[in-house]
Amino acid sequence: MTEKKKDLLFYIVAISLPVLQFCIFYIGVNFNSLLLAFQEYDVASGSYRLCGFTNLSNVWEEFFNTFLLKNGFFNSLKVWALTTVISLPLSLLFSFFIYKKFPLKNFFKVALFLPSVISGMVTVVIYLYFVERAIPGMAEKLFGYEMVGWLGNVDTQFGAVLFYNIFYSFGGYILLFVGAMNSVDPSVSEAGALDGVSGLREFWYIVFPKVYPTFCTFLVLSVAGIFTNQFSLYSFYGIEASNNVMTFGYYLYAITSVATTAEYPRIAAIGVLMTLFVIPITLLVKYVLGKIGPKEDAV
Amino acid sequence: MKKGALRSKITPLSAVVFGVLIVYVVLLFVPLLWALISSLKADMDFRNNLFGLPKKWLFQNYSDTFLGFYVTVESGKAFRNVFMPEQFLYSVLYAGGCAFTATFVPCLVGYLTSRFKYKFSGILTVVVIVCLTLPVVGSLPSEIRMARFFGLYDHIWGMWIMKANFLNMYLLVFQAIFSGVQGEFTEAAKIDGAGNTRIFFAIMLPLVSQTFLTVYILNFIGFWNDYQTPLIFMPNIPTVSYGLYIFNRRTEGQFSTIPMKLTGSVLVFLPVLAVFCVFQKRLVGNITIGGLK
Repeated sequence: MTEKKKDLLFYIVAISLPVLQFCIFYIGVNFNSLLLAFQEYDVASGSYRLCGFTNLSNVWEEFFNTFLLKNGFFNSLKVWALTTVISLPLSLLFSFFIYKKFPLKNFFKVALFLPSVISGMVTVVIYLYFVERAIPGMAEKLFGYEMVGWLGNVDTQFGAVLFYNIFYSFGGYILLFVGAMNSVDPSVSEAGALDGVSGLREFWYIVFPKVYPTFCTFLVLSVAGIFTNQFSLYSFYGIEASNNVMTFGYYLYAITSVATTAEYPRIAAIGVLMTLFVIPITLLVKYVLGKIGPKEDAV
Repeated sequence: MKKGALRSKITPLSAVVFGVLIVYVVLLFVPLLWALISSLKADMDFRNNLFGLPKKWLFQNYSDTFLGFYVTVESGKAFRNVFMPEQFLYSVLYAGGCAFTATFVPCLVGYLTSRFKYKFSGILTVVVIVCLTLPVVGSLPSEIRMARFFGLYDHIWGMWIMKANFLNMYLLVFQAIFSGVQGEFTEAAKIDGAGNTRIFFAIMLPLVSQTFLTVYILNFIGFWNDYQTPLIFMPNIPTVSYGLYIFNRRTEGQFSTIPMKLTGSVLVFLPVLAVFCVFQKRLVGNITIGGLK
């Protein structure tokens, strides 16, 4: 057998199982999900049968007529916008601080990354009781007034969940931003420093262009995840989160966790509609980010 | 260049960032410390003394929680309780196995697509990037049906197979590394008579072992902390994170008190903290990803 044929044989054998897995658990799952959106469950025969656009039109109607889906939609957008607008720039700033080797940088690096290794369930439990018991207790002790816990109070629970999501979000960003910043050639930074380039200019012209592809990746993936991100609501509330805080990602997981086979088609129909909505937005964001952005050699 | 040569001058901006980071660290560690101290209190002590040290240090909370930390699952036609040691075993098997398949497969596919320049390699890379970018919402019911159909549902090995996919950012990480490896390595090995399998396992894999280990640890931590996949796909094989979710939803009995719930959280957190302390230098700043072009 020639060397080329051996290579080809090895390639086919090695790649076939991963490709088969991909075909079943990505293409198959999503095709089946699409199919489910056009099916209904027949209790008598215990199987699914085609029902045309009934599920989609029901969900479409439900979306405009019920508070639940509408609220979930806007909450998802709100939480995504606020967490991204706050977390991404702050993570960049913190990463730059670590990259520039300011005092205690190693300690901060570990501290910022620590929340991402702790189970979400653990941080939720600690945050929950700290916010519900410790802070009101402290307020009563210091100022003498009775305060309702932020997560239990309808007026404040959205803000409290939002704060949690931002506060514990830096780890993953920092991990990859610092990695990207470390690829900056030290001699370039040194030359900049000798030329009296300020920290901000160094960040914008030398460091940010290196981080920009990673930054874009995070942004695009976050847009793609708007309607799948649960924002830890299931950990906080189980299946009992109120409509005020409910996001689409949470809603879909929560109803799937208790759904019967007969309810799957409705869930799949919601998913199909949301997918159709978010695909063009994601592609647009990706396109725009590809067109704009800093250039590496502009210093 | 000497280590630390790039250490920067303190500017007003860096001083502000330093201040913000100090506040962040305080806000991060105070609740953790509070949880640790509260986990050693009796319930009445906790209610009357929210911030002080325990009147009596109840280390017994930990042994009690260890013994009472169970999940009731179906076993044949009956029910049985799965306790913490068994949950830890399931966690090790679930997280260890899933982390391995979720690391090895992207590594293998990254190697194949970056070193073998067939058309299919290019197509596969584009497919991965497109799939990563295309959001798919609400496919969980379909995934459950598929898992049931293939007999993977409620089996740990079933999860290993389901997680053995290359559709993640780590594929791009491995592709970048393998692309940077010089061709002479493989050519020399081929001259010495090594086959492709041997080249991959004996030469290429050791070359990326540092990144492989880092990705493995990150995946391991992620799977260890993941309770939602086991909750849905392995309802009768509770991992320790799944157990913690159930433990925290208890509303009756000795374990429904806040100190006990905090004790449960600390118990689950400790093994991950140990892994993190051992590997923290390896984890932070050692991985880079590119764009989604």
